[in-house]
Amino acid sequence: MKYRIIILTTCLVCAMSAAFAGSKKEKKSEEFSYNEQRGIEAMNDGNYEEGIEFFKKELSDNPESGRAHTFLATAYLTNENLDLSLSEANKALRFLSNKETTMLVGAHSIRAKIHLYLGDTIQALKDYEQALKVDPKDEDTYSYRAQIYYEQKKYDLAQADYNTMIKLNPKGVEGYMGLARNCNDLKQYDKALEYCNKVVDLTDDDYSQVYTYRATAYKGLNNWEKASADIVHALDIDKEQDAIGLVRTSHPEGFKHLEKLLTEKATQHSDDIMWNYLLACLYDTNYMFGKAVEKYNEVNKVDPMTTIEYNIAFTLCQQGKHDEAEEHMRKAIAMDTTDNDLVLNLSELLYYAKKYDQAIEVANTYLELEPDDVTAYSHRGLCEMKAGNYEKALKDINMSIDISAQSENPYSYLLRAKCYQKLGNNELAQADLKHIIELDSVPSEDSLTPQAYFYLGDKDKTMAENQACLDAAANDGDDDTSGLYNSACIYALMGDTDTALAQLRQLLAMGGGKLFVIENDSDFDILHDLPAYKALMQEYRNK
Amino acid sequence: MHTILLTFHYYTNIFMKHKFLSFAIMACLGFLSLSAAGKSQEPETYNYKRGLEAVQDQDYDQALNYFSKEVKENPKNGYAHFWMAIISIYQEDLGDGLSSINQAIKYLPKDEKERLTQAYGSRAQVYLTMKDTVSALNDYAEMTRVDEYSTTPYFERANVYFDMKKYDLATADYNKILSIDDGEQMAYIGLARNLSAQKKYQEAVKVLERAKILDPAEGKVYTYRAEAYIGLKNWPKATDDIITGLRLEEKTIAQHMYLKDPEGVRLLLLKLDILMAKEPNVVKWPVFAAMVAQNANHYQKAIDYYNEVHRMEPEVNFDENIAQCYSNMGNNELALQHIDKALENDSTVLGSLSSKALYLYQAHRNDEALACASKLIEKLPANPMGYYTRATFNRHLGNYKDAIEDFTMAITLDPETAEFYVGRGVCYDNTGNKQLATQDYQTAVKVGKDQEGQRSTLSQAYFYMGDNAKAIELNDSCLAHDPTDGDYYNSACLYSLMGNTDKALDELQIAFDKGFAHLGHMENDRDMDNVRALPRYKAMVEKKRDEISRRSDDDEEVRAFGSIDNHVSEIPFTKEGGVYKVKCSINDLPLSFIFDTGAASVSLSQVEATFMMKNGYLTAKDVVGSSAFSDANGDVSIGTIINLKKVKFGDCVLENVKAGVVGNQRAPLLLGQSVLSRLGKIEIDYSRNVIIIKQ
Repeated sequence: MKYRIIILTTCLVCAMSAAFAGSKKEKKSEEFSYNEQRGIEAMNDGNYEEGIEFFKKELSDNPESGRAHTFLATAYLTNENLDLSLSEANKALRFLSNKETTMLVGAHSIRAKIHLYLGDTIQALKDYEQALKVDPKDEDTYSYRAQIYYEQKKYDLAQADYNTMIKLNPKGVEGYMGLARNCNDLKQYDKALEYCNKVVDLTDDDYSQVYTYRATAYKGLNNWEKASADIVHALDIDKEQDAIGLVRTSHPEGFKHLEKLLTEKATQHSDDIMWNYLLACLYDTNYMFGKAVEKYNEVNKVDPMTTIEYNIAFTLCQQGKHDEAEEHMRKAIAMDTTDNDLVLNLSELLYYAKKYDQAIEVANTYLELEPDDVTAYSHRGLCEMKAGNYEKALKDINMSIDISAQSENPYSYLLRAKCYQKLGNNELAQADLKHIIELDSVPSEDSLTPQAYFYLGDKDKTMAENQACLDAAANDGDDDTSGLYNSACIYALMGDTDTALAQLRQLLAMGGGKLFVIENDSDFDILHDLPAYKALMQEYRNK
Repeated sequence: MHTILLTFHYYTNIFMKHKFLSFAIMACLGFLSLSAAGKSQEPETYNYKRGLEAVQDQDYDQALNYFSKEVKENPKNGYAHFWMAIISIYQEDLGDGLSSINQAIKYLPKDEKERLTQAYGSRAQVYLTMKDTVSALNDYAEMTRVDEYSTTPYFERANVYFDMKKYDLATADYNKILSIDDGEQMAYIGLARNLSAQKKYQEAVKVLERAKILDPAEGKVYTYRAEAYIGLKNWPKATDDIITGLRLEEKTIAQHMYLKDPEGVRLLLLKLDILMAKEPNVVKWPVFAAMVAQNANHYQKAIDYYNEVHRMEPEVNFDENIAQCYSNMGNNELALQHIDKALENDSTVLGSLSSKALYLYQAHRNDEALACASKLIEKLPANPMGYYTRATFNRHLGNYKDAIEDFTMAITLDPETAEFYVGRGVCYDNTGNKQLATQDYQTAVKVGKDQEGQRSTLSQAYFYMGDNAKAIELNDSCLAHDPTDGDYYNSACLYSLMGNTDKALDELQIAFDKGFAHLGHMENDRDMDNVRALPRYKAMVEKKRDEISRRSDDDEEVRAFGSIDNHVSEIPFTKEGGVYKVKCSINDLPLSFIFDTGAASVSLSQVEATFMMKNGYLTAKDVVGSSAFSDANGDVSIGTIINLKKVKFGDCVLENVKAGVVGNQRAPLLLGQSVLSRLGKIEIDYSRNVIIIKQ
């Protein structure tokens, strides 16, 4: 899911607070039994286990107390014991009287939440419906239900619930925020702006998420000046997470305004590393590697971190400065010897530097530390392939397939098929290629089916599937460029160098391709000696 | 016949379910709810209260005394009867338990839902033990009437229906539970178990997904999902679930270690090897791996795992299991050595004594075998197995009179086992007493007809009665339901007895293909007399013997990960021309090998091999055969395989390393994985140019 409304997602806490707050309305706190009060206190202090014990004691005294069952259900839900929580909510609903409306709503909400975890949306909606029958004015219930409708892309139903929320509480912001999010998804940016502005009017200047929403609307309207201002404002308030995502734009106008505003902030707040870090990310996204490294180094001066060394290493790798990249990654490893991932990252850098033997050695070290890492076997297999050791590569790829039970990765089968082909075992290669087609049966931007058809020698199906995947990527509507990358691979493999180059150019313009990945991808072997390709790589490397 | 003599003594006692588990649970339920006692209508009399105190103190005899006094004074105190019943059932005194529970049900107040449902539930359990399923089902129905919201009766009843294979009724009960409370994770698990039993594996997996969301830490979810994945032959997922289940709950997952499918076994052992490398101090991984390997006939591998367990926990010995492995590899002498060690550690283990008798018998040390069986009888005179073991030896040795005596004793102690009758019948037949033989065969059919595992025995009974058609029919029905290697061996025995030697050998081949490897037993089995002299039989047995010995060698070479870090050796290496050279000696000849973690095996150039042969470092006896092997460059050479008696690195010594002699004289000397993995855990310190070996 791309967007989330934070205030709607903390259901655990909401369910708990709804139950507690509601209880207070119906019954003054002093009327709670001793065990209930102690349980509530423990829960409020975050001592869930202790809270559970008190509620259990309460139930030992009053086994048919619907309220105690509701409290216990809340406590279990907070503690992520879903089965116990659901059982308690069921019992609560059996024992609660019609007058205990808040508790009834709370129990239904808990049950709905667990049904959602179970993937049973229908049952969840039924529970919310029942909760609304008990209390038709409960805003939270409308909010939870609208969230389901939103995730189901039933925008009209979500909109109706958000409108009801606004009617019930005209000064509340959640309804307007929900409507704004709907409109952004439906590309109704003008309307989204209206709702966002309403929220801005209703709130003090400290509600960051509305600025991220408004930035999304401005971005949709191609008004990068205002979008950039809102992004930076949201970041300024509380480093809003979605706003950080919006910084990574390759749009020239977006780049221009964000560079200006982020530079101003970095100058004003030199002790806050976020601004320089975001500038570095912006430069990185726009292939301005020298400037990116410069900004990362400025962050490092204030607060040296392994993450920054890691980022510098891969940025240098983009520039083809492999020795320097290796040096920075080794520095990161020295800074945090407990982070085994960095060792694998070093092996990856060595691979991109075409130092395959060294990459294998480092991967060996990593696999001693993490012998069950599927990706690492796959990576070492790739290194072995590049080094021409197909038997060894096969062993590693087999290992990665053997131990990745929960999700079969078509990429592993593609690698293995290539190994088999190199070893002259076409029968096994074909079996793997056909298996890829089974696994990636639905066209998507990540599908490897076109490649499978290519290696099976079926050019017509290769092109047809490639087009289907590009269409699927276009329909998906997000900014993922992997479909374009895979398509460029296909055209290169098919020998259509012009189209492959055009797609690579388009990909880079969208900020979607890593130069070191392109340079090391054997699918592009046919392009590597072409002047146009060399010029394109040079253009982006020295941008 | 294959059965009985080949009893396995796996280390499975930790996984066994207690016979009276349900009763214990019922009793515990009673104890737990004791805290609420006194709040309802329970009496306040002195004896009753003292009885409750005694229950809380777990002094059950004293509690019974007080409750008995109470019912003498107040015969209509249903609560006192209730507790008397619970304690009696817990103490396995079912007669008194049933009487008390009837009184409890009669006198407990009708609105006392909790105690009444417990009373009905306990009575149902007693009825089930008495095999009175109808009365038990009536009591469960009564429980549902007493408390319509209680899920317990539905759980209990569904379990009964499951055992009766009435899956639709069991499913209805689980669905009823979920209509009362859809948070009951065990109801989903029950539904999945029903579905798997009906081979609806995909549906079972789907149901278990919900159960997993409700509580991902519940081991049974993975146990039953593994079962479904095994049904689907989805080995990657099955093995993952077996391991997760084992991590969370060892009891119920144990059944899945008896995998036979080669791909399933390979994956499971691979994943267990990885776990051993990641968690070198967790002893359950090598224990489990050993069981999987042993069950899949990877005996040498299993022995390695057992030894690893012993190294991790020196007080834990698996000598009995190791002996079993050696026996199955045809090495009865080593089997006897280990079984003696097992008996040294615990001379009271009767399974070990029984095994020793078997190994002695297989080693043709008949007198010692019979003496050992006699010792077993001496130690356990009331157990029929000792007599049966000695009887079987005597039967195969032709001592029919003695065998008949022992079979008769076994039958006296256990008249319900069909095999005893068939065994005695054969002895009568061989001593010319046809009438008594026939009587025994008929009795065998009578007692074994309702016993699922007795088809092979009954098949033989019909054969001996001259009804070949019926014998074949039973044999076929036995082979129709997931037959094991043992079932095919029994089938081979039957056809051998019938004189259909081709069919017998066909069946034997299937048994071999499915993993049957008990060659020692085969050599002594009179059922196979008709085929034993045939060239095809001899060739098959010889091939099997080679296969077992080769597999043992393979087992030594395929272990990918070590885990014990007790001893550390450091061996210096030098880097020359991009390769690492290690000083070592082979059969005391100093050499430098190229150290290659990626090479599949050990290879030695023909020049070195010839030199070693000419100078006495190798002899003709060291040449063990030819095999295809490849080096790291993927080139395949056909070379002679030689056995290197001693390979020494630093202070590590390895014996009997198989090496391929590479005809291509430019090929380097290569030291590959087969040696490295046997050395222990390898670490390479590039800064100091040393290989660190942790053994």
